[in-house]
Amino acid sequence: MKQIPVTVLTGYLGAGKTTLLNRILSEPHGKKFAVIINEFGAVGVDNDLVVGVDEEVFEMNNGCICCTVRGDLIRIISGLLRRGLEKFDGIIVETTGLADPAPVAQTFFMDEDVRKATRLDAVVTVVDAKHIAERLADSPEAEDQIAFADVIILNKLDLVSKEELEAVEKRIRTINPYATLHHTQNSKVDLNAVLDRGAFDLNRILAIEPQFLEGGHSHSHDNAVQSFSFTSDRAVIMGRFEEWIGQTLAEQGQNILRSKGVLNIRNSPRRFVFQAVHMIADSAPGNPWKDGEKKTSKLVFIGRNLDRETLKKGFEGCLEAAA
Amino acid sequence: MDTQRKLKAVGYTFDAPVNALAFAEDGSAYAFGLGNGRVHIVRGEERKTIEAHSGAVPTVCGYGDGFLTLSDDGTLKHIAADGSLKDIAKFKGVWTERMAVHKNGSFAVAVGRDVHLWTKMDAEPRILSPHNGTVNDVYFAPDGRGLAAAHRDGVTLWAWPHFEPQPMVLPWKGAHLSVTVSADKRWIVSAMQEGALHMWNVALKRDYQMRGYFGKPLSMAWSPDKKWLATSGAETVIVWPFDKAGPEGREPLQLGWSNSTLVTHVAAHPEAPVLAAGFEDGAVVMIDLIDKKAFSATAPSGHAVTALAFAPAGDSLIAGTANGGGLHMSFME
Repeated sequence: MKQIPVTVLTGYLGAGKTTLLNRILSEPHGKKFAVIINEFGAVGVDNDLVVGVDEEVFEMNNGCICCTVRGDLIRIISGLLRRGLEKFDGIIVETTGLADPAPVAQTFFMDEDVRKATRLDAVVTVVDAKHIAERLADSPEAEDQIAFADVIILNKLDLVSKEELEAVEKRIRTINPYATLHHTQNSKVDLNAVLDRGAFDLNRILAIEPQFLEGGHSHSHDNAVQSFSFTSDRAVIMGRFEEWIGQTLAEQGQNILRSKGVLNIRNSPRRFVFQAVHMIADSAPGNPWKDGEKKTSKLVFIGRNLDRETLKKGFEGCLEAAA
Repeated sequence: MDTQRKLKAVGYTFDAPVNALAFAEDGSAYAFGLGNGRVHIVRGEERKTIEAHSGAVPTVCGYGDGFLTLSDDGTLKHIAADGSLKDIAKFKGVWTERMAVHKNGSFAVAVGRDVHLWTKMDAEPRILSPHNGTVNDVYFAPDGRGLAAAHRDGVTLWAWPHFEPQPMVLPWKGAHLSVTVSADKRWIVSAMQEGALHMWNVALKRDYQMRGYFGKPLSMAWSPDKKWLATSGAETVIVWPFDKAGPEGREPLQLGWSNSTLVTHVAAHPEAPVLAAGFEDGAVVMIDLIDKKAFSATAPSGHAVTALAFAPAGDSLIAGTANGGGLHMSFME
């Protein structure tokens, strides 16, 4: 079965999600999208599927307390499947401003039927440059939405000064150093920057280029989301890494929102690519290193209440001895 | 029934996925509910396509010599033997995907977090509420004097005629997606999101979790002697023993087929110890419960079997697929 790409569109109330959605739908790209809107009805479907709000988050009984999924989302994708999913080029899920993106994203990995029919392409978060600082101070959801993003649309640039923009961008980068960030007004962005990103496609992850690494933590509240990244030119010993990352995600998966790594494995001509949403991890050999290319391993964690030193020590324990 | 006998098959190609199918209770016709709201009815030599709904048709039930059809657009309709269409109910802004019919003429529909129960066609429905979350499935007790409703964190059992005392709630954390009740009403079995069955023995007040399914065991069917419960969701048909003290501590039968795809649907013959299983690759297989032998009824088409049903007389089987294929197989004498 062809897997239909799914774009999850998040962002706080008033950030410009709906404007972006309308832009995606109205541009002449010749594609047909099924759009799953806030109310968890679907529009853009021949026979519209519109049902009431019942944001049904439930835990999977698999021993992992962070493995929550969205029952309503499974239902609506099943509804699309009943109509024949192959007539769509993509699915766009617009979440409510207050939605936790984790159960939304996890649904695409945890539900067998959804996983077979679709693939999560990217989490796109629209951020209001003017108001995000306030939101980050009082709303963990706003922080989670940034932390989860593969693509950040930093919107309403016309409402902020250059200095304000710099501060906002720096703040965003402490939460999420690797998302691709675009500056926009009225959510005006090239749709190629939003659609078909393959953010969860291990074959397409070549490198992680963290931005503004861990500079100037502006902790606006306790329990703030932070990101840590570790880099090494020493090769990683596969067995040790697998054991350590497995244990780390098992023990701290609830606090680790997302993690990603591109690793230089000892004696391997290929990159090893790894990524996880909470405890749900996926890894595979990636593209080969080119001749003469500098083989650097990079690992990023985004989460709450993480201890940098412990993670750093753990990662260093996976490296071969310095030459 | 000798499963080695020849089959005579008639194929159908529809313009939308087959969502559901059923025989009329008197066996006089069969119907395919499609993803575009149409219902295709075959009655003897006559074929009719009825524009019944504007949404998809996830449940079709035989009702006397006609059919009840439920759409996820919120409409519930009756299609009479002459093809005439009657509105039974219209619900707005709620999930309506599952319905059950009892041979005494009662029918029940899961409507969002409620269940609407009709004791006969033109009666006012009784609303059974509350449930802990959207009702995912409903199933009549075989004696027609009770109903099980599956939902988040458990199953609720309603009993009548008196509806007293309060409904019994069988709690178990997680999403219960499909439910069935044993003939003696001692066992309630639900299929769960994480590829498991939950089984309650309500007589002994004990419950068990049966894990290890690769997919969701949504389709369940009781053998005609009620001693076996066949389930989908694995690469073989997993059949649990319900004779004696039930399945606790006993191995299920794993009946199958050298096939690496999942069983998506199971159906039990109404009289003979024979099961039918539909697979994700489109294969339909018949399995004899006595000698455990399986034979192919139809080869893989590459498109998942989405529904299966035996005729009430047991002389034929219908199947539908995700790409709009329909099949009627008669067992030749």
